[in-house]
Amino acid sequence: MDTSYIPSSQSRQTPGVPQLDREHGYFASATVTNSLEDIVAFCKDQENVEKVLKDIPAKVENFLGLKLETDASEKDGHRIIWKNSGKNPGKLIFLLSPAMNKGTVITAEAVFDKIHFREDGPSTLMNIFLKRMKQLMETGEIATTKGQPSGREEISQHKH
Amino acid sequence: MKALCWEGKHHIAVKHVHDPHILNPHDAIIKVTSSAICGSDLHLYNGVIPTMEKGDIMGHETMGIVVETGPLVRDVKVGDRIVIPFDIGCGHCQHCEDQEFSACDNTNPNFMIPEKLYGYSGSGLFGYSHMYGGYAGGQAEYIRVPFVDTNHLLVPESLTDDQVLFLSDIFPTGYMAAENCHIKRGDTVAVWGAGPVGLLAMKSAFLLGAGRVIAIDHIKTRLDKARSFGCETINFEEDDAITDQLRFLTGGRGPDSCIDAVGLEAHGHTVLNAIDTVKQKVKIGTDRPDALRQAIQACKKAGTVSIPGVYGGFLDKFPFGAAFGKGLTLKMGQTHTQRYMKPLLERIEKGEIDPSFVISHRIRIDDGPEAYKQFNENKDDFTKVVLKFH
Repeated sequence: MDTSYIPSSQSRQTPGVPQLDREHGYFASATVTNSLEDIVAFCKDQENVEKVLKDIPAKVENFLGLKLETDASEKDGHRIIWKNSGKNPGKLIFLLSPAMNKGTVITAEAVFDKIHFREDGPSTLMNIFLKRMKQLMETGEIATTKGQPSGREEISQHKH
Repeated sequence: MKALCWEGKHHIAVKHVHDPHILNPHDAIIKVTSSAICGSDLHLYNGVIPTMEKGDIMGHETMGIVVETGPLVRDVKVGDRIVIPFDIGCGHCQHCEDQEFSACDNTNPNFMIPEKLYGYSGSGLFGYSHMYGGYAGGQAEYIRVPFVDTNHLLVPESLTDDQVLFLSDIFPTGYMAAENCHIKRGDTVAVWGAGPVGLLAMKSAFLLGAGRVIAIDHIKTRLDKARSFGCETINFEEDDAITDQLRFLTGGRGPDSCIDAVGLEAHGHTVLNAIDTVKQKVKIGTDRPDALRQAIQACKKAGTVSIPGVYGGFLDKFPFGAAFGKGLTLKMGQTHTQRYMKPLLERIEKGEIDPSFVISHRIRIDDGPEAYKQFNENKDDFTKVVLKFH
């Protein structure tokens, strides 16, 4: 079995990538149908990170104000870093590697000196963040029902 | 607009709510012309599906006319008459590319809930709890359809709403249930539940080559309907030794495949079902799987049990030993409706089947709450209720 596509703990420790620290690093992974090049282009667009964070069910203060730092080809794929150098400094690192059949595996790692989560656990939040990123990458939108009608907002008369 | 809203267990109300509008660029707004009440809506009515919220708009079997489209919609235009599948596919993820639309990765905004309960989330569904996305349903004058390019079937004017409406759910669901049986010519298929999905699974089984279909239910009018197109029938209130009956009827072998078109609210007088019912009522159990138990017990060795009936939680006294011991294949899940809509439309156009035979009542939306009550209590021989709009 070819396991080269699976990011190993060694691959996370590629020179230049912060070493895994269980105290402060949190992980999630997702497989997307997009090509590696598409993802790099997506991640370079600051608007996209703002769309992913907008209305996110749980917030993490560290993620607010993330800016693209760099992208670079690595031996085992691409590495993209979104960095927050403001109040809660730290990094969100994306490692990209080809999926077995098609598309790309994204492994996301959050590395912060002190991580500030308002709700839910960090792993849950990383998963939510990456799933929303996958939605936006693959479809161009993030699924929502916010603003749809319901009987919770009954009106006195109908228009049609 | 008017909409049928879930207000709590056994309480559906007609409410005046805001019209839907475009929320995302691949959305469309549909003026609903017909919308059906599904047997699975009764699970919501009976309060056995979790994560419903007061005010949720019901309905997932819907068709109508496109009145507005989002800026990135390509394949649908204002004025098109479309049927809407109950499951929502994005059309872009790997599952959608593989025609597994109800397993879509990207359309359930509440994916965290099923991920906690089931490990992974399926697609969003219209009008079927917040666990499945909390999308407003189609038992309303208008509905918003996300990713409409993926989630529509254009229907010709030559066919009536009644002929094509059930391409939204129950015909593909019945057909996929039969297809999952891998029927060989002349096979015997037993179907638990002669409601609309069960009846369409029976018809589909014949279309796919079954030699015999045996319908199992306790409602005489439904069994009469099954008999009208060639099924043999067993009324479990007259003879509850179903497994023995099926063994006898199949020369001691058992049916080649068994379809559970009942799901988590089985009826019947078995001891296990009585225990399930008590557990469900006092909320220490979730599902009443007695039809499934019987299907597993009755199925022949190395046969297939296909499960279009809805299950939601944990199944007690599940005879997994029998399934393993006989080497059964179990196939189940929400229907990948979009995969079947076009080929089944062609069967309707050719006159091979007219799914409208399941309709028992056509009503206006104001009569919706009473129809739910009657349907649930099976008064007045309710088989399938269709709401007519506009």
